[in-house]
Amino acid sequence: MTVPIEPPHLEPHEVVAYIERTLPAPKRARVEDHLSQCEECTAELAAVVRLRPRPAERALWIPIGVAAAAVVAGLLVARPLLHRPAPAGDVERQAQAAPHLEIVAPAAGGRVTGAVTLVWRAAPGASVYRVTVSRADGDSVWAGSTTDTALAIPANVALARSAPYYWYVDALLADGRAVSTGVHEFTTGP
Amino acid sequence: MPDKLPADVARLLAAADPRECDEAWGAFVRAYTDLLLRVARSLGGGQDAVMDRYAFVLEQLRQEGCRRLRAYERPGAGAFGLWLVVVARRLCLDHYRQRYGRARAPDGREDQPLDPRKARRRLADLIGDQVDVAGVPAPDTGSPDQVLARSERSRAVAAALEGLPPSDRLLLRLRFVEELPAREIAALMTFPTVFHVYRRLDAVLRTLRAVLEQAGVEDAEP
Repeated sequence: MTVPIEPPHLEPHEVVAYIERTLPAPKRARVEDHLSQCEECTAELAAVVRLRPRPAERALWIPIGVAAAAVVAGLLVARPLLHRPAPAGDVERQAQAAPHLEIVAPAAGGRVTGAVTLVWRAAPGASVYRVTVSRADGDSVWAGSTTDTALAIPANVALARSAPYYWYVDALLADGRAVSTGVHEFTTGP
Repeated sequence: MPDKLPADVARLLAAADPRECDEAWGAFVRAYTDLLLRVARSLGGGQDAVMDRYAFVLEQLRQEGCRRLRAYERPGAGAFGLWLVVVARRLCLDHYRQRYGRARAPDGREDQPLDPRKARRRLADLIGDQVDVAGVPAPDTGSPDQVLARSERSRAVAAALEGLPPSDRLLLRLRFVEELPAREIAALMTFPTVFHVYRRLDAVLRTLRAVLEQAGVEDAEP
């Protein structure tokens, strides 16, 4: 009788590195390949994700307004990090999500007078675009969705004069993947 | 040395004499008992079973001069708490296997469907105080035709899954087998939002459905 030879299970540090997304691309691909075939390791991964220590849980005690501001600020700070030389699955996912999303107007760091219309280039395969505008302190000012490649900030959204704002667009592709412009800044007129 | 080794653990691993080691071990146990109990509870059973596992994990971690904890000392080892969860859970499974043996099928593969009597014994030990195990009915396997159709359908599904990229297979497994929340899957598999997880699931399921229809599988039940 032939007993099937199973690949060795993941080492604890590999499970940790997969969860923390610190594996280099080829290694992450190998781990993902193993996980896709190994019930025991996938069950372990899911259990560890549920059990892991979560220091962020303490944030639940922060008043909701402060927490919301912190989340948006965190997004603004972390967003450039998302564009670092991508490790592992990020590389594959970005390669699959080939279309690149570029802003058109306002230009990065540009000054806008009057009504603000945000414009970007179309991403092939995009089904909808989500636009988010935030203040420098991280508070979200406005967010909207469109299937077009331009969106005006509504007149009832009060923008301060001579103030910096940050905006980004996420294009959601038909197959569930996404591309983003990354965060860009514009300043309102006096 | 990993750069995230907590002070309690570093002190324990560096302890030179037995008294210092005892003190450092006490501090380690105080610091990580909540975490270790969470892991022990995650495998089910009553309070006695949980405490047995917890005691087993502590015993194993301390054995041979904390040999298992020393395995953490490697470059890029990641967060210690997360690593400890993985190790403690594996020790809990070792404890379980020591008690009940491995679930081994006749062909030598593990974790296959158990002998019904063994399965009932495990069930009785694990949840016997909450459920009347004697009242659990035997599974109804259906007529031979249904069994055959079910088996063919299972083979077709397995073949369709085999044709998917590993990341999509993992996505399906995490969502539908492990029932991990979409936000956890998004964080694990580098999806920007949960919305993207659902969209990807939808795309993968549509692909699977098309493949199964081509293979002549139309319905979930034969």
